[in-house]
Amino acid sequence: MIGKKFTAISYLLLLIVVGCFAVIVLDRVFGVPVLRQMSTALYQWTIVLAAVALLLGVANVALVHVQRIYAGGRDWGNSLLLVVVLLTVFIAGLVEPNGATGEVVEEIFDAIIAPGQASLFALLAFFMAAAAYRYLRIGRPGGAWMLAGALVIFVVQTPASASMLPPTFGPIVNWLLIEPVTATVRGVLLGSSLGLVIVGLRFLLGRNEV
Amino acid sequence: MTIRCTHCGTTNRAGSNFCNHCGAELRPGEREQPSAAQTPTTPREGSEVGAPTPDAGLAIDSITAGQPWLRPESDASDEPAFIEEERRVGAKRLVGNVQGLLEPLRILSDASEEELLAAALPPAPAAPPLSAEQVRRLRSLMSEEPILIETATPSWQQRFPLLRMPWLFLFLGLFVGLPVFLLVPDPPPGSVHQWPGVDEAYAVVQTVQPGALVLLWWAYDPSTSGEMDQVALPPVIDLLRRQAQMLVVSQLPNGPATARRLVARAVAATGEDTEPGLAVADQQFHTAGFLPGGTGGLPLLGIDLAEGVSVPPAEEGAAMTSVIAQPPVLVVVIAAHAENVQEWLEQVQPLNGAPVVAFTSAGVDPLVRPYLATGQLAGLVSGFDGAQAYYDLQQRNGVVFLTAEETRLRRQRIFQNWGHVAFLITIVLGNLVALLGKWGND
Repeated sequence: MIGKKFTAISYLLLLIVVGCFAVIVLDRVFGVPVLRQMSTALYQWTIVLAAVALLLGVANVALVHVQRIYAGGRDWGNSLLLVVVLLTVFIAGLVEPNGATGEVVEEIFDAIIAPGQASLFALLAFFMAAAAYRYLRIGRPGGAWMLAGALVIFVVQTPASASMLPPTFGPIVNWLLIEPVTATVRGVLLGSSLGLVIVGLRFLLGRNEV
Repeated sequence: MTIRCTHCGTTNRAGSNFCNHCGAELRPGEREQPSAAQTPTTPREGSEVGAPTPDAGLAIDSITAGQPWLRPESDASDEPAFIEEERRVGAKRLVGNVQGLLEPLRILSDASEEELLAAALPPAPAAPPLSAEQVRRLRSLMSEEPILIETATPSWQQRFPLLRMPWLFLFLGLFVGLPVFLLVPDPPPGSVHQWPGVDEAYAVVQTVQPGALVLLWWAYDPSTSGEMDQVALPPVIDLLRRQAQMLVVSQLPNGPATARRLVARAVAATGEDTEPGLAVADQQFHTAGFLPGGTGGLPLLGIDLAEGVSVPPAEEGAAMTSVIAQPPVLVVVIAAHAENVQEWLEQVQPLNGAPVVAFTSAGVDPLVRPYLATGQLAGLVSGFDGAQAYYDLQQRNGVVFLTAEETRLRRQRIFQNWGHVAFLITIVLGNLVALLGKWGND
């Protein structure tokens, strides 16, 4: 049964979604040549829509932080820093002839953003160590399975273990990864994808209330 | 008319069921005869007590017999005594007139809440001074983001030293850092895992003919280049040697710049970084820049490269136009994250059908290995071990790196060894502490 919020706009949105879905599926599954141009156009629109969505998101973030600076809200200094960095990168990309691949933008990424990301990745090792110390334990519920999986992967990915492990160990781990682990992971992926489709349909049908 | 509490001596209104001060039960014989002679202690909501109907007179009399304050004449009779009693003990009570919830609560005093509490409560004994740890916990509990209170320290922890996190981190740092200073010897020869996929990747790369287009899906940037540069270097050297036309496509803003630097490093690693050598490499290497749109834009690369990549103007653009006019004979996915490989295999490969080999970080391996079994991946090389195995294959076929690159790869594998051993020891220590705790508590 269709919810109360289902309006003419909802019908239109649903029609667009079903139309796009049909074009992509027919093109991908059955290879209908006539639909290739349509699907190509749809993919190109996706890029444009994604760019517009990104711009909207950035504008929204900037607005929120500018308002906070104007009102002298909590941690307004951080907001000021965010706006300054945002404008710097944005202007650098605009004035560079090569845009996002220009020298200034690349320097900003290489000298500021990449070291920051690398530092976070490095800290991840300590976070993982703390997690391994506290939670990879035999006595915890399900902990023994997690511990066994972590140990197997750790051992086979340690270079020094190559000459120590029996030759049958590698193929066994390979089988574990290809059969049971893949079956589990794909089951989870399929389940979450179906859930996503259902949530999307409920939203379009105006039945998104819980 | 009042009732004096037999427990604390406080005077209460007549008909009160419980003492206003101590809460003791005031109804005589209530417990002995709970049901048989029980009269309603509270009138029903909305009933008009003061306007009895003729046939309800007996019922009202029976009600007011147990609750005399309901009679109109009772109001004035007991009020002075009750008010006097209130005045006597008033400061010790917070509220009054709660008999049967018939009347609204009335605050007895205008004094502040703190004063009333101070007067009502017995004088507290002097609190012992708090330790710094207790103060810290109190502050944590009273802060905006309270933490879970840890369980009380069991006795076993007093007998065994507790391994605190700072010590754990120090241990890890030393374990990984010391080999750097002590120059731990190289791993023994032949100590490389022979994972399926490396030989296949090498074989596929060797089939590339001079001038053929190879698409490089570049999915890492300098934040992960410590591992990924080592993994990507051997295939790029191979492709340069085979004179393939390499087109780099990336959805990371500085992915193309990372690729450009790695190609320069590959040229240097083979000792070809002379002017002619660099010029040749420059002719072989093309970058399509940054591809926006995320996963939604990827299928364009599979449908038609010309639709998906941005062609620069002038000479470089003319060269690239001729390059992308041909379909790719091979796609090399160089990725630090599993989803980049999966997106390509699911969104692009079904459209162009080009064979794909993946060069990934070690963490990606377990998630993409199944694609090797299904045939979607033609080859898979991951982590330092995979890079070393690929490089060993190259060496057997006459490709020699500069010593600096060999040393770098070897050193990374040593670090990885010690890092993994440190993690394993950490896990063992965690379990040991848990077991000691269990035994200690037993």
